[in-house]
Amino acid sequence: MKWRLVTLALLGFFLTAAAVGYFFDELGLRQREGMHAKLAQAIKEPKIDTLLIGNSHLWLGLYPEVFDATMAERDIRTRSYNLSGGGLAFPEADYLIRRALNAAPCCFKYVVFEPAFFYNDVTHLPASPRSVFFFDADNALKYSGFVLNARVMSYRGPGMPRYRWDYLGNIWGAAFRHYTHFGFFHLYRQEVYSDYATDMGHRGYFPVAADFREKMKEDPAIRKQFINAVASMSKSPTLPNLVSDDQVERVLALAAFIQKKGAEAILLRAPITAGWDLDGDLIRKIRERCPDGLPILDYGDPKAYPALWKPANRRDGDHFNTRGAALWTRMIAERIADMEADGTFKTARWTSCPSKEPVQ
Amino acid sequence: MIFTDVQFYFFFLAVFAVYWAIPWHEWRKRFLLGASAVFYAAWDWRFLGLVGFVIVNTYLIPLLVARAAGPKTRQGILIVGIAVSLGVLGFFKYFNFFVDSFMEFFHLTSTTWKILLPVGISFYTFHSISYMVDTWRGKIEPTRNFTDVALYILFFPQLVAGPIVRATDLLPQMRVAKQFSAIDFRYPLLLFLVGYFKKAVVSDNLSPFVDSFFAAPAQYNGGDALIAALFYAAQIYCDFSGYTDMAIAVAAMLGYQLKPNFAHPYFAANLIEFWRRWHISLSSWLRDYLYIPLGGNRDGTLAQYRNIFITMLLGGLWHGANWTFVAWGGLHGLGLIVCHLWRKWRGTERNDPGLYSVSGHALTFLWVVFLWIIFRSPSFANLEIVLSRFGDLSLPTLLNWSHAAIIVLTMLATHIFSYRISLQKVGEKIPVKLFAFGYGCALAVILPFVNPKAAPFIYFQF
Repeated sequence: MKWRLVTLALLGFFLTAAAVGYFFDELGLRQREGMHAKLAQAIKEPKIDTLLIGNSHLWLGLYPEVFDATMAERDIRTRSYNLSGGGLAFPEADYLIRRALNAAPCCFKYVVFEPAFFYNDVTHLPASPRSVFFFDADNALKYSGFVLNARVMSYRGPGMPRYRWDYLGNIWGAAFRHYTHFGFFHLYRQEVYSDYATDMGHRGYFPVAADFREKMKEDPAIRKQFINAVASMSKSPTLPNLVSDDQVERVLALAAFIQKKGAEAILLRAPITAGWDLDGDLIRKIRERCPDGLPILDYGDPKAYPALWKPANRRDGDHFNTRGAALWTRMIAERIADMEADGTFKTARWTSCPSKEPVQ
Repeated sequence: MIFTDVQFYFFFLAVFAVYWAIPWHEWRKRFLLGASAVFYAAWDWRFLGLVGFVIVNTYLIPLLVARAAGPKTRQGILIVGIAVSLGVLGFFKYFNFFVDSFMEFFHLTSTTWKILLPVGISFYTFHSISYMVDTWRGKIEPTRNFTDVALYILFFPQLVAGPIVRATDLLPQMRVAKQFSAIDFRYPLLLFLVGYFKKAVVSDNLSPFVDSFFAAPAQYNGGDALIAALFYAAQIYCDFSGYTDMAIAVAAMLGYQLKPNFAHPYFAANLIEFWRRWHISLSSWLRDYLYIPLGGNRDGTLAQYRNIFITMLLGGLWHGANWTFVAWGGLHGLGLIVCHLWRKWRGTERNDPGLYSVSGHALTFLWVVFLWIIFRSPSFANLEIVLSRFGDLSLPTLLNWSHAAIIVLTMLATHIFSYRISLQKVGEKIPVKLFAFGYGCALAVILPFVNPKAAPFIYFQF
């Protein structure tokens, strides 16, 4: 009898919560969350055929208008959208790419994506609209699998999750809020579009004009930190074993999915200092796993791309300003145009790296 | 760990399951005592020793009083016991306050010690005094059962913010074995939900507006000041009565009955009535253990007014070590004296009818709200700025009107609902299955309105 009553109460709760959720969706309240608004724009915007997606380095670093103009100079017509967001984790990027490609009727050409394992912001604040919107049961399960199978989970300082159970607690806490709408009105009153309101006028790109040189002048410690980080990256040190086989497989599975949808998957490594060893280890393992497979654009070596590491082109140690963004975007577009010209995309068809995701 | 924290629900579910699974009454009480210690330790384990000391004092003094020969010896032992309990409270809560005030008065340099305020100290001190005095007065037999005394002080539903339970109410209940099947859970569950709504939805959503106003009152205008004052009146009521509702409900689910602490105070027709409806357990405690021992109304009108004033002054000080609390208590005391004078002049002990009644309600509410401004202000300097804001009566900037309207209407609805309808009767009338289903539905409707950044209960600081 008691358990029957508990079941009845739970039934009443979840039926009502589902009805409340339906009501919120009908009013478009949940869709006001920033990343979801960007995804909706990327899907709705006419003729978008190229996705540029990663975390804040790409958000402030890839300029769709410059990309399209550069491609047009090489007679390739594109209309790109920057679907990046601050601290975008790989599972979150995976979800957004799949949603965008599944929703699009056809004809995506390129998906340039950055699997930055250093960043897991969506798991840091379980009470943020972004986390609550993202973590439905499916995403919570997938992200939990990702956390449990990662070799290391980065610790970003006090107040951030440190151990795997911290991550799992935050993931399932957000999932609880997702289904119960706990604190819904308060949550969605704080953040509507915030910075995303600015970037949506630039097809997802967030322009920042600040100059890193001024910040370095003001704070010598920041200057020293940046110079030291670049110096250690320039030495091409032996990379520690940081990325698990599971993480590599997830990246390959996503790339296979993109190809299955008829687009070219291009893996991007940004010119950043934070988490560079994780990024480096991933690129090395992907290259070992499928040498003639996934096209990779690796900007992680300061010696190879000195212009990208100039403080004049940056907002801070890890983000570009508008000048740097234009420079980097142009470089990327030219490399992709080169790949089109030399037939890279035609020949690279996963012969050496079979993936879990079936490729057609 | 507060009643609106997720951790509390895990804690309570575990306590509830184990408590009712234990078949022996004495072991149940011991388990409940352990759980209460865990609950208190979750706040600050360092003060467990201090509560333990107060418990030992509370346990021993009545036994010593009972064994003592003459009335003077008994009274002496009682005074020592009370002095020990009050000494603990005085040191931890008021030491810095009095030292600072003394130094400031004589323009001396103050060296304040960093004394942490143990949570719930004002409440368990009053529990302790209540037991010692009631056994001395012969209202209750001193018990040799240490678990009972310790549980009376530590019982976690009422430990940190009351209600202030009398030993005469709780100790007899501890002697009776509880039957799970004898408890109708509908009323406590409903009461808990109402309390949760008051705290998590109304109080926590008002708190950001009130806090931002009182943090920098100079930035706001008179409209904002008015809104902030009214919101604070609503916030403190919903916060404290919400906590009390949840405390009573949690205790009831464990088989213990705690008395109500609020009876729709803002509907009071005068201040005398207000204090019979607001924080009833404190006002009745002050009446029984302070006002009556001071002489009550036995020594003539002037002495009665003096006793009222002293009682309210100390009642204000009980709330916190700050002169604003003393002023708040003193002004309430003056208000009560005016009410008594009015009644004397009108020649009636009952409330006035008709227009007098309407104006009485309005005046009482305005006076209470005005005094809440003093209560909420962190200092007299801050209070001066707040009061100066009322000179600039412009439209409020603090919030948009739709949000304000929703909050105020919700608060009024809660107040009127609980005023007009007895929750107990409602709970008992609804068929069990419908109640279970409806409870789930109601919770799902409430949760979206909860402020996830829950503020601590206001009365925890006292």
